This record gives sequence, C-alpha cells and structure tokens, in this order.
Amino acid sequence: MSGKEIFLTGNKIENEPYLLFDKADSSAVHQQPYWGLRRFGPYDKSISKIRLAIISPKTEIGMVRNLIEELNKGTTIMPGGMPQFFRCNIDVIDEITIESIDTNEYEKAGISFVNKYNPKNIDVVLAYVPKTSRYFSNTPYYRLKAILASHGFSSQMITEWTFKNIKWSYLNLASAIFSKAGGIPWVLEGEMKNVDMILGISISNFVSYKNRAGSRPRYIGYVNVFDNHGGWMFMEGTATLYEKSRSADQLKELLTKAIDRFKAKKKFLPKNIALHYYKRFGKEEIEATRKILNQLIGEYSVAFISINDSHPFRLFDLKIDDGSFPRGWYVYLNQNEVLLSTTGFTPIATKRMGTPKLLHIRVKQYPKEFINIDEVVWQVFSLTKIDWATVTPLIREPVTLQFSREISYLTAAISEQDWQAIVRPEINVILNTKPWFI
Amino acid sequence: MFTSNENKFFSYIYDKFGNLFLLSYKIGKLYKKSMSTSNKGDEKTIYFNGNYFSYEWEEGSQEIQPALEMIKRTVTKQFILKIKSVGYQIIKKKYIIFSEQDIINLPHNDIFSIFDGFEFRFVIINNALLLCVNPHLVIKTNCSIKYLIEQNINPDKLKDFSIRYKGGNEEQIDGYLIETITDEESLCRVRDYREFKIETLPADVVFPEPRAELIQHLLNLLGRDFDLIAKQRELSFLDSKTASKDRFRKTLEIVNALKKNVFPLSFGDWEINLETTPIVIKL
Repeated sequence: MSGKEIFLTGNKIENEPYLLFDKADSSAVHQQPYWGLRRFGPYDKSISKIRLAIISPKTEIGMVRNLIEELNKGTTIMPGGMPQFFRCNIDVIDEITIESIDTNEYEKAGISFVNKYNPKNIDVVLAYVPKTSRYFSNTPYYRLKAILASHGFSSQMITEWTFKNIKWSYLNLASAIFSKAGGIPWVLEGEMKNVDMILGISISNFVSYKNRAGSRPRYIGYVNVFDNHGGWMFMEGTATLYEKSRSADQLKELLTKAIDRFKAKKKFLPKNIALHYYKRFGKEEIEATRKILNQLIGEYSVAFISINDSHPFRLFDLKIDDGSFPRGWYVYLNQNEVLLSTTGFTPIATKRMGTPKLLHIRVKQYPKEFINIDEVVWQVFSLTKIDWATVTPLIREPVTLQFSREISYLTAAISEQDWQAIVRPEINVILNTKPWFI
Repeated sequence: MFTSNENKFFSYIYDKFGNLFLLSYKIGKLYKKSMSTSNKGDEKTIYFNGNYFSYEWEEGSQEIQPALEMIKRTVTKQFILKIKSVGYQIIKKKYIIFSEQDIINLPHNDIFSIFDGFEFRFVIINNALLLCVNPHLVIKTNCSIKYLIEQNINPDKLKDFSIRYKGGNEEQIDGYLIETITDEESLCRVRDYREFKIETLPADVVFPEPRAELIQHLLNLLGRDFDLIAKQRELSFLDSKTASKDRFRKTLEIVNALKKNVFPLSFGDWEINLETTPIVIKL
C-alpha cells in the first residue's frame, strides 16, 4: 500500500445543553451555571440555612470571617450573595482556631471537633489549610478531610490560593458549600436519551498505598450514581478491603448497592444502564457486570462506556485563532469509538489553556445496541456541565469521571481505618447523599 | 515562522488535522515459528495470540499471510530497535521517546534535566496503519538522596515521596521513601511498589521520582529560587495564545525528523515509510 489518502470524519454538537435551575419551574433554564443561578437560584430551593463551622489558623481567621460575610452579603461578581444565588444564608455555628499550619495541629483540631459535634447539627466544615500539592499525602488537607469524613462531616477546604483569585472563587466556593450541605444547584433541563441510570464507576483503587503499614496493598471500589438528568444521587463504596485486584467481587458489591438504592429512591428498577469508567472495561469485568445485572434486574440493556484521556491523540483546527479543535466537536475512530473535544474553542468561554486533551470514548453494549454513539457523546458532553464544585463554563471531564477522580485522590492518601469508617452504615447514611468528596 | 512544508497546511484546502501519520509499506514475508523454536525473544520475532512470528525463515517455520495487527506489532518492534540504534532513548511502558541531544537549557542540572521528547503509538484506523506522534516533555532527576543530604537538606524532610532505584538485575524499581536515616551511613527505608516489601538501601542509589511537583519541593528545600512548574507550563505551550498551533508545528517538526533519521524501516524484505502529511479531518 502506498500513497493512500486517508481521512477521518466527525460531527459536532452545536449548542451547549440547557441547565435547569428550579424543580418547580421548567422555564428556569440557562446554558451557563453562573447566569442560571444569578437569575433563578438553585434547582433545589428547600435549604434556607447552611450551618457552618470554621477551622482556621488564628492568623487567617479574620479573612475567613470576611469571606463568609461577603458570601452572605454579595460581591460584584455575585450580587445578592447566597440569598440570591442559592436562596439561603450561611450561619456560622463555631470557630476553631489553631496556632500553626502543622499537620498535627489540624489533626488535633479535627479530633476535638468531631468529639464535640454531631454531624446532624453541622452541614459543612470550612477549613483554611496551607496549599499543598496533591502529590503529597501527609498534609493538613488530606488528614483533616479524612478525620472529618470518617465521622460524617462534609468539609470544604480553602487555601491562600482561594484568596488570590477571590473575585471568582466566591461562586465556586458557594456552589461547593451548597451541594455539600445536601443542596442540588442545577441539573440538565432535558433527559439524556435511552438511559435511566448512569454509574461513574471506579474499581481496584489502592487505599493508602504509599505509607500503609501492612505488607500487601488493599483495593477498594466506589460508584457515583446519576439519574438521566445528570443529577448526582449518591455515592457508594465497597465496605470490604479486597486482596489483590478482585474486580468482579468489587463490582458485585457496588452494583448491588447502587441498584438497590436507585430503586428505593426512584421507585423503579433501571432498565437502561450506562457505566462510565476511565479505563477500558476488561472481559472479566463485563462478564461479572452482566451476571450481576441478570440476577438483580433480569431484562436490561447496559452500555460499558470507557472515557480515557491518557492517550496521545490530538486534533487541530487551524481556522481557530489558537488552533484548538472546538468544544463539542468529535471524530469517529470507528463505529463505537470517538475522540471528543471539550476544552477547545467555544463562544461561551474566552480563556483556554493548552491544547485540548481529548476524551477517547469507546462503547460496548449488551445484549444489543440501545444507544447510538452520537447519543453517548451527547451524554458524556452533557455531564461535563454538572460538576457542582465549579461554575466555570469549560469543564473537560464528565462529572462521572471527575467525582471518581476526587475520591481516588482521597483514598490514595487516607488510611484503611479512615475508609472503613466512611463506609460504615451509620456514617454512610449521612455522607452518601452529599458529594462530600468534591 | 513556519517552514514551507508546514506552511502548506495553513493554505491547504483542509484546515482540520489529527496528529496521525499514514505509514506506507511493502509487506515482506512473515513466518510462523514452530513451537519448539529456541529463538522466541529475538529482535526479529513478535508474539501474537500464543504464537511466535518472524520475518526471517528458520527450520520448521511456515510462511503466513500476516493480519494487520501482526504487521503493526512487527513495525512497532522494528521502529523501537531503529530508534534506539540512531541514538534516541525510550521509556517503554509510557511509549515516550527522547534524545539526550534535545536537552532544554535550564539551571539546576545537578538536580534535574528536561528533554524535548514525544509520545507515540502505532494505531489501526479504517484498515490503515498510522503513527500517532505527540510532543512530550521528559523530566529526569539527576540527584540521589545522598546528594541532597550533602547539599544540606535536613534528612527528616527527605521522606513521604516516590522514588526510583536500581534492583539487583539493574532493573529500575519504583517505590516510596518512608524515611531517610543518617547514622554512620546515609540510608533510605523504601517500600518497593512492585513486591510491596520494605527495603533499606544506601542513599546514593535512591533517586526522587522525576515529577515536576516533587522536584519543585526539593528545589524549595534547597532554597533555590526557580519555578519549575511555571517553566513546565511554558514548555508545554500551556500559556501560549496559540497553544494548539504551537503543538501542531512541533508535531510536524518531530515527524520530519523521524522521516529523516528513522524511516524508511527496512528489515528482511519489508520496507515501511512514513508520510509527513497529517491525517485530515472532514466535518
């Protein structure tokens, strides 16, 4: 073969999905979280007060107090503050100050806090911690987060970085605090086609693999469950610490929990299920999933959707000023495989960084195809709009992967004891209705 | 700014491209080896679906019609061999290639070096074999833990990060530095990620993992004023207003260098050539 011309074809999503900002008013829609919240408030307007506790070094407490005051009162970017954007106020229940930014100090403060309060009486703990890289695990960020979560408390960390870009941090912070208090800031306006339940699954993750005391690594799995409006429903983790990579056993535990709780909440069994995973699904994992779904549901359709960004594929559009392949445009690699750009040129965001890292999406369906590849792309693309930790219009990953990634950072850093405490039924029942890990 | 070869893409009828480059090839003979062959792991042999195949005949082997996947594996193997023979280095598990000549001139070479490298894959799309090339920075750490102690870093601070060291058979092992002990001799207590066992090693054989965040941390401990994270962003085109165009241009440079230095690949009666025109995207 020589001199053969070859090209790839593609498609584009012309418009961003609409987001819904009121449970009771279907006209409260906007394509951008910022404008939607500003005009309509959050999707869930049932929370009127968020009970907050602060943990902060003495030297920074003044800044943290000001931050809360501004969140309640409003700023130029966030006029009307929490009452306008989230229809609620932040009520500071307690302030715990510490003398230094040593990890030990934070641990002591965290332990004294969890001994003093019941998680039912505090919605969110706001903690000022020094900025550290996620590369390091023994840091105030991870230690405090683990202590609080293992006792049922959601926490929001802030650093000096938050204050450096404070104008724009307010709204991201407000949205994260609101959702960690159990509120739903927004969902997709329209249903995603041909799917009842979407699972952002992650299996065979190390727990504290860096410095654990035991002689062998232990593995866990977790799943975030979303409905067909992209609304996050709950997170479930494996209670067992698995030996070696027993992915089939992890899947069994996770899927059983996820389907049981989905049915309890929605009052129906999901028939069309999409599994999102950042890796390629192995044969063993597919077989195990089908076997479990046969037992739990009987008649069902399942799509195994692998969404990977660890590949060298890049696309370019030289007509665009920076040469980026526009957001929402995608290229077919074959019938069940596409490359999707989510961070390229878009009229809704002027600031871009680097060359878009494309999402490589691969789909396998059983027992037969029930969702086409364009619908899968729309599903993945739509879910890039549902990360409640940020109102930025340009999000690279779908929330199914984003939330899994957040948990994996945490589980790699915390101890087995911390993880087992987090998934203990009495703690799980408090935590798993809030995205405490974002 | 662009070479004439590169410039043609800007005035081309198409304006959307991928970083995939077509391989044109003349397929030679491929032989399935007998199971009793002793030459299983030689440079001419590939492994596919439980069998060994070579482009060179040997006693007991049978000529076969190679499937595209077999062609891909044969080409990948010969590409790696050729690239090494012309002076490139390869980080195998990561499909990353770089050359010592492509070092980027930066300070603190006693601690780290950065090279202009690239990531590659051979892929089959629409029954065609293509080479995917993506520019990639390669970071190397040049300092052992012992050297860092000699530079007056407090040994108590040299812990809780990933490291690399050479095992008994010269194989590189990834691990985690639990603590650094300085007694009569400087020693590192490390956890081997592969076997998950704890070992105590001399500090001069243990090297910090080549990650920008970690090297930055070490530079900070050394009191050296250098923002490696910012430099990495700059070199990765992250701060450029024409980031994708810069990356595209760099990709074409790499492909042209490969065309000049590595291709054609000739082995047995096979010949593989690389087209330097990137794949066109039609939307």
